[in-house]
This record gives sequence, structure tokens and C-alpha cells, in this order.
Amino acid sequence: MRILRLKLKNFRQFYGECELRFLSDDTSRITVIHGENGSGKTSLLNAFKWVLYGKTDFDTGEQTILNELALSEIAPGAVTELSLELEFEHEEATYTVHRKQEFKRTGKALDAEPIGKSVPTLSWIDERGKYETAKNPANRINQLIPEQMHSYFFFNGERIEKLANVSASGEIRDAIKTLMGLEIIDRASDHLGRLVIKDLRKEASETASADYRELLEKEAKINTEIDDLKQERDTATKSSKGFQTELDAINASYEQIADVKAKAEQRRSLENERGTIEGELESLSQERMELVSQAGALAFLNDTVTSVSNVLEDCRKRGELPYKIRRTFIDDLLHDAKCICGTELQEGSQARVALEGYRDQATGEDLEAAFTDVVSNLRAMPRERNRLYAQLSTWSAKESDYNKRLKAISEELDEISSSLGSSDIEDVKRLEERRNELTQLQADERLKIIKAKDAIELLNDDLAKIKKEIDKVQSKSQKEDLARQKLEFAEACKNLVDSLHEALAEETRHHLSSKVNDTFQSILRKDFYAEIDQDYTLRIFKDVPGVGKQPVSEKSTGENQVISLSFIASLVNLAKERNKAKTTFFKGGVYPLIMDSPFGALDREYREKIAQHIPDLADQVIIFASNSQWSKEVDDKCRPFIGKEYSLVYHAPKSKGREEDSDYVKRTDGPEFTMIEEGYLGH
Amino acid sequence: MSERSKSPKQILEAASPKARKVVNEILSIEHEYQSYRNIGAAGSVEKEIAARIRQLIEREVKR
Repeated sequence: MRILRLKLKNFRQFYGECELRFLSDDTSRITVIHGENGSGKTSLLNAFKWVLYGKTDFDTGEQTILNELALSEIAPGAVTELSLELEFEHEEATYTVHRKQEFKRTGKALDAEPIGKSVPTLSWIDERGKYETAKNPANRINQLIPEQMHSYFFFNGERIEKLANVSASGEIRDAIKTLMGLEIIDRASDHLGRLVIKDLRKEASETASADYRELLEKEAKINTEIDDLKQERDTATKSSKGFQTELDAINASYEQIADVKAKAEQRRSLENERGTIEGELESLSQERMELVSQAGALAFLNDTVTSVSNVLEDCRKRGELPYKIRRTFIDDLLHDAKCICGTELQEGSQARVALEGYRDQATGEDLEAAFTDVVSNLRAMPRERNRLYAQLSTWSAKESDYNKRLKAISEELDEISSSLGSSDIEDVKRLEERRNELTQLQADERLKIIKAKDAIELLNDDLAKIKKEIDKVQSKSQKEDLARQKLEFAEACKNLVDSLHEALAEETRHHLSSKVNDTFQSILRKDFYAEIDQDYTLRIFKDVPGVGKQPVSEKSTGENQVISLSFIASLVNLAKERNKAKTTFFKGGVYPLIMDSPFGALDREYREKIAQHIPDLADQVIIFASNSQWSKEVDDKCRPFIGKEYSLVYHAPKSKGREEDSDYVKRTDGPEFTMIEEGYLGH
Repeated sequence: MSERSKSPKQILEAASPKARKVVNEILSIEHEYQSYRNIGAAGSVEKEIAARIRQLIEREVKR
């Protein structure tokens, strides 16, 4: 996908008709739109979202999108419209999306209400020059650029750091799913399980013998319970995620209040550390469980080991194990019918009978080998037991240290919370109350998730037992047999779909993780590395000499921005790679990157490093930047790749003491608006 | 080797040719209906998809 043109009419600050054209060949893949704060950069980012999906995403919530100057020009009760038109190229066709919305002025004040819903139109000219229009434009647009993915291709740089939070793991998992076309597999599994198998089970039950029917009914009941629990778990996960988003917003608000910023940062760092420690404790518990299940019996075998060793030692002393003469040696003598002392061993002779007596007492090689193994294992057991105790003690000590630290963190967090809760600043007090409320609500949801997970595991065990019983029950009629075969085959297909889903998601996660790390390491100045872990959380690690890989819990805002940007760049890159792959269902795509303030709060060095990477991030990059962010070092790195440049000239209402004009800000007597001028007006 | 550590290719290779074929056809059906994923008509389309998947399963079992 390559964006060619965006035409705006009366959208937000943009009065009348304005047009932006974009280039994206190899030497001019970057378009920069310069503008000061409030001039409409975020509005332009939202223009892309609105024209494609009819939605906006302003930090300040839902706002009127109609230009105030246009509204002021019509009488109360009259109607005016805003419209956007986006032209883009995709797989050799040129598409035009047009969306308009009419508004009626409701009174003397600048208030307006929308008339009906905005409706898009989509037309395109294909590679043979044929003109077509979409009957269902919303669907077609969604196929071309999935709505779930838009936040990765049109993003606000000042907010991307949230991707590096644990709460964003759901978003990352969804992005991977959408990108890989895994939704298709998801839906196939859902349709097979919820509709087809349920139906086939009913049919099998109706034709079944009493035993089989009873088992099928039990199976269906357990499946329903599992589905209900999964739904409960998913609802709780969504609620928890929602609470986390609100908590993130509260944390961000704190960081805007100078008096409490330091405390809020300290809390964030403590919470990150707590998260890391809790993860470590979970790993320790897993490792301990594994060790105990493998070697835990050693702790209780001390007496047994001693008594078995004594018995074997007695056997050895008596020369019974291993026996002084090997059975094969006696067999050879009997075969040759001659002893080593020269005595003939004729059949029935006394000498032969005596030797045959030895043969019965002599041990076979298998028994001797087993004896040697047992003795050596028994000798190793006390050593292994000591090692088990030592390992468990080390882990206990580590666990105790972690728990002590968790307690200290908890106390520090309580102190911060109580200090913020009793703040003289009303906003802080209010935010803290809400924060505490949300934390409690989130803890409740997390408990629900754990309970549901445990209950699902137990039910799955029951289900496995019932399936075994079902396998044992013989079918009694051809009809029953057929119904059963259909059900079993549908279940086999669902299992295959589910395994495929898991493997594909895992494969993509690995691939993406390594790409993220490559980009991250090439930007970051520290010796850190990045990973998307099994829970789909973006994590940063470092190597500590003598200790090994350790998570970095205290990340700066800049580091969070760098890892988030690395993730987005890798996603766009992977989508492009997938587009080249000859797959039927898991097709990626070539997407542009449209970034509002990509340099956010980065320092000079990171700005320069990111700027250096920008031309490589995607085939087409559109950047919205303020003058303070568009520094000389950024300009130097991007300049060779800039194809088009625009400056947003903001016409701001005159106010006392603010009457002077500048290149980017002009004073006006009427409502504010922005004009787009081609070129860069400079600093 | 657990299912978790198998690649998609290995999983497909380990499956029966019948299951592989039907799953491929199911995915084709889902792909065909992909554009309905976010719209109101999704409910009625679901029944249609389920009926087509069921037909595939019945056809394969009767063979």
C-alpha cells in the first residue's frame, strides 16, 4: 500500500479544501509535515483513521471534527459538510476512499450535530484500467488495511511507549494474529467447536446406545462448562486489560504533575521490579516442581538405599553377586567337554555333574550388568540427594530474598500510595483514590482468571477420562457408527486446527522477537537485548557477568520508546516479508508508516539514531513533527530521503499579549484554523 | 517432542491426509468469508459457514 494523496475539507483545523500529496520511491520515501503544537498534526493522523474507518482517536476523547470557521459561516439550522478523500495504490490498483459527514448548526453558539452516520465510498482502477466501485466499502477497506492493525501503521509516537508495558501483551498478540492471518484459523476452530462439533455430538447422542449416550452427554456437559469458564476467563482478561489501560493513563497523568512526578516514577520502577520478581518466583516454583517430580523420592529413600546396599554387599561378600565364575565360561568348558585342569567332562561323569552345579549358581551377564548398575546408582544416590538438598536450599534462600524484597517493595508502594492519597493537590488525591480502586478491581479479575484456568485444567482431565471410556464403548448400529465417525473426524480436524494455530503463533513470535532485537540493538546505546516473551510481552534483558541473562526492570521512557518503535518497524517489515511469501491464507502486506511525533521525549542521541533508521522502517514513511523535535541531526539523517514536505500554518485567535505572527503561527480575529503550505518553513 | 515445539509444517505432516485436506478446505471457506468478520451480518453468515464445514466432514467420512 502506498499513499498518494489526502484531501481534506473542513476537517478539524483545516478550513475549506486542502490537499497533501505523498511520494514514496526509493530516494523520496519520507514525507514530513512540520507544525507547532495545536496546529493539527494529530488531526491529520486522525484524518487517515476517520476516512478509512469512520473513527478518531484523540487523546482528549471524542471531539467535534467539523471545522469551527466553516460552522461559523452558516446560520443556525443550516447544514454544512466535511469530507476526506484518500487515494492510495495497492497491488497495482489505485483506490480512492471518500467519506463525508453532514452537520447541522444547532444554535447561535458554535454547536453542531451530525446528520446520520458518515458513509464511505471506495472506487478503484485496476491494473488494466478498469474502474470499479465497492458494494461494501467498509469490508473492502478492512481487507486492504485491517482496522485492528491501524494503530501500528498510524501511530502517535508520544504514546507508543505503552507497547512496552505488560498490559500491551494482548495488543501484541492480536497484532501477530492479524498479521499472520491467524484470525482465520481462530474462527475455523471456533466454528468447528461451537457449531459443527456441538451439532454432531447432538446427532451422535440421538443415535447412540444408552452407555454411549450417557458418556456423550457427560462430555457435552463438561465442554459447555469449559466454554463458560473460558468466557469468564476472557471477560476477566478484558476487564483487567481495561483497568490496566486506565491505570496507565493515571500513571501518565501523575508524570505530568511536577510535584508528584518523582514519586510516580519511583512507583512505576518499583512495580516493574515487583513484576520481574514475581516472574522469577514463578519460574523458581516451576523449576522446583520439576526437580521434585524427578528426584524428590531421594529424600525418602535413605533407609531403603542403606538396606538394599547392605543386602547387595552381603551377596558380593558371599561371592554370589557377581559370581566368581561366569556362566559363559562354564558353558564353554561343558561344550569342549574338558576342564582347564585337563579333566575330561564326559556326559554323566562326576566332574561334569559338579561343574553343571556351578553353572546353576553362576549369574548371567544381564544380571551382572543390572547388579553393577544398581550398585553404582545406589552409590550415587546419597550424592544426588545432597545435591537435591543443596539445590532446594539455594532456591529457598533465593525465594526468601525475593520475598523479603517483595515485602520491602510492598511497604514502599504503600508509603507512596498513602503519601499521594493524602496529597494537598486535589487532582492527585482523586487520582490516587481511583488508582487504588482500579488496583483492587484488577486484582479481583486476576483472581477470577486464575480460578477459571485451574477449573479448566481439572475439567480437561475429566474430559480426557471420558474420551478414553468413549473409545472403549462399541457402537451397536451402522447409523450410530457413522454419527460417531463424523464426530471423531470433526474433533480430529479441530485438534489439527488448534495445533496449527499454536505453532504458527509461536513461529511468528520467535521470528518477530529476533527482528525486534536486531532493530533494538542497532538503536540502543546500552548492551541490552529485546525479546517478545511467551506471554507476548516486550521485554528488555541484559547479561550480568557471573549471573547471566537478567531482565531490565527499570527502563527509561526513551528505552520504552525505542523498543516499541523497534516492534512496530519489525511488524511492518514482517508484513512485507509475508506479502512476498507464496501462502494462501497468511498473507501480509506492504504498509506505510504514519508517525505523529516519533521522537517523543527522546534525547538527542536516540533521536539521531532513530532518524537514521527511519528511511529503513518502511517503503513509505510519513512523519508529523514539531520544530523542537525536528532537530538538525534528525534533518541531516532524513533529508536525503525526503520527497515532500509541508508546513502547517496555524491561524490562532488573537489574545492579549499574543498578537505577533511567526512563520508557523498567524493571528486571526475569527475562529482558529490551519492552512497547509508546501515546503519547510524552517526553524 | 511436544506439540508446542513442533513447526506448522511438522504438524501438518503428522496429520492424516484426510484431516489435512479437510482443514485446508475449512480454511479456504473461512478465508472466503473473511470480510464479514467485523460486520453485523456475521451472525447469519456463521450458520452458512458451519453448514459448509459440516458438509465437508460428512463427505470425507462417507468416502
